Amino acid sequence: MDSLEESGRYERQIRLFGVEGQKSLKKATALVVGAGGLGSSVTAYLAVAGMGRIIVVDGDVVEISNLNRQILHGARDVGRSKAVSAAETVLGLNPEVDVEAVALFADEDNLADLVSEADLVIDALDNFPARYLLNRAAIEIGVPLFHGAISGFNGQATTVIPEKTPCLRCIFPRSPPKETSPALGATCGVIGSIQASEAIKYLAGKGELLGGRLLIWDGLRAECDEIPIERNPRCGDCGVEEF
Amino acid sequence: MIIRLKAYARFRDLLDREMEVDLPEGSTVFDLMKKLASRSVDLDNQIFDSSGRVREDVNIMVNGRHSESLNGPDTALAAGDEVALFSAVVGG
Repeated sequence: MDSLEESGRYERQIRLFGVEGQKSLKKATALVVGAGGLGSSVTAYLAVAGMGRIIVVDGDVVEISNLNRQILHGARDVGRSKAVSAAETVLGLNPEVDVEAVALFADEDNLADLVSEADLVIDALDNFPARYLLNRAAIEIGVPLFHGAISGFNGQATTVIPEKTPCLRCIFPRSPPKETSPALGATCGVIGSIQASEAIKYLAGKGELLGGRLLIWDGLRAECDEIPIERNPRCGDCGVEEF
Repeated sequence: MIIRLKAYARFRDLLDREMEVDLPEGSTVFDLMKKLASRSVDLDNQIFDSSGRVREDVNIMVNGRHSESLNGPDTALAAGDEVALFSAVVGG
């Protein structure tokens, strides 16, 4: 029996995608950029699913006002690095995960190196300028990007597969205005779970990914819509046509 | 000509989820927005800023392509086009 089966930890999901699927997770590295509300939800579910390695990137420190939604951090973590706190929580959830804390804000100088270490990238950021940098790095290096964003009861998600699907800049060619969004932990849970589910499906080779579709979650109505999206051949990040 | 309009996110509070809009031939995205804005002050405020431009947080897709990557508000519409109107969220 394979060691992944022996422990029994993954027994209920090996039923979904087999030992081979589980090995795909075990071999993979996920880069989670942002250890806030979305990052908490995504990271927790990737960790317990048996992701081999998780790199958590966040230059911020935990504040008391984060604790309504950022479930990787607790009251004792206020004032501590989010990346470090997240890594500790991951090890508590699943000590089999090789987790690395990177206590830096994602920027042009560090993203290419970080993305090049990963098999997939989770966008758990809170602003579009940084998202565009991540989008570009993921496309240039050729790894999938799992986008999520929230505000209050509302959320959105999509999956970007380089050279196959529209990228984030195809969908949003200009940055939405910066805002300090109202945030509910449960909404982060919904959208972060979708991102984690997409990442696991991608690695296990299961189902149909959210590429070419922007999922819109309306929590107040408890409704989910999707907007079909086309690639922009002249996209500044993934376009194939010359300007 | 008839345009199919789908409203998402906060626009669902002000518009039907899916509707048909009758516009003169040669109308643009801006014309469509003006027609929608004429329905109520709330819609006007949600679509246009104080200088009369489409708000930056309003996203308009025409047949799956963002209007800003087409010809912006001047993007020409054709009968049967499907236009999606939504606001992006940015938080994490």
